[in-house]
Amino acid sequence: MAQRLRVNPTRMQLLQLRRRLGIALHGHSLLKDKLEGLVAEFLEAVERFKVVRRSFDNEYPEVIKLFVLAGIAGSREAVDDAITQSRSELDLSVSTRKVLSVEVPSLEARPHPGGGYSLLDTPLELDEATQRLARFLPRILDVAEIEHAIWILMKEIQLTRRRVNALEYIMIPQLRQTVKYIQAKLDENERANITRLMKIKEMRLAEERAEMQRRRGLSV
Amino acid sequence: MRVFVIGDEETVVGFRFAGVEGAVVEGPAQAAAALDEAARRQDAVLIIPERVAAWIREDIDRIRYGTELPLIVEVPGREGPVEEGPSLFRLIRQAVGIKF
Repeated sequence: MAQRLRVNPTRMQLLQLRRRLGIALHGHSLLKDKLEGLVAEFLEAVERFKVVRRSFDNEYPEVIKLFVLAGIAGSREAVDDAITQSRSELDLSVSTRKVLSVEVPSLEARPHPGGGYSLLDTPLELDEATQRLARFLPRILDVAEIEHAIWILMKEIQLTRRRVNALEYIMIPQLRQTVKYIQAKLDENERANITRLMKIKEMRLAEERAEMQRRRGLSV
Repeated sequence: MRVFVIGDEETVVGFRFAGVEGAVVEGPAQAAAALDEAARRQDAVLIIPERVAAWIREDIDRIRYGTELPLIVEVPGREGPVEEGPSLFRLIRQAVGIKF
């Protein structure tokens, strides 16, 4: 049984509470819709994540292995020099996309390929590895994006679920209980009033009858 | 906005070629320091090998839960994915109670 709110049982309060109850019910159904939408979105994102992540996990070790091979094939200095010379840069722009009033990030990479490195003293494997990684990088960003989106959706789902529950199990029963209480109290007052009026009427009728009888007695 | 790698030397050197800066770390303390710094710099994406991520699991979770950026991607190491699978699923299990 929900605790009723501590308010004075007046008609004014009754009207106010009824309005609040209406708003609460409306909000509850909206939030519930939102929650459903979020969960659907969430499940979809997880499905996508599973696919992307699996192929990512499979491909990543291969890419890194290429660098290990390159390291073996070439001298340490040559590879270090190549890095300094190539000086490529990766610029990233982060924007947001809205999903049901939740902002999820969306990443876009703008690679600036730097100058090349000397092909003479670096191993062939290095070229391959570099190219492969450059192609692979957008995939990493995809994973980052989806993973973060899932994370945000998850937080939002938890929050929304808490709100829905608070409305459903606390706020709404409380309001209902209070409205019922005030209604009962007002009805009670009403009945008390009617009884009082009836009683007064009875007394006055009795008085009038007595008066009439007295007059009749006088005139006779 | 930029991408940053925190990891073992191989990984960091590899990503340098793709234009991604990185910090080489060899232990939990170094990793945690690098992570803090990256978070303060507002790097957009952090790439961390799973093996390194395992050292600083709590810090990573805290960043993920608390702040917008950086986004953290855990990549499998050279050895391939760690047995437990992507850490995200672990989190989903904890938070939502749905199992995948």
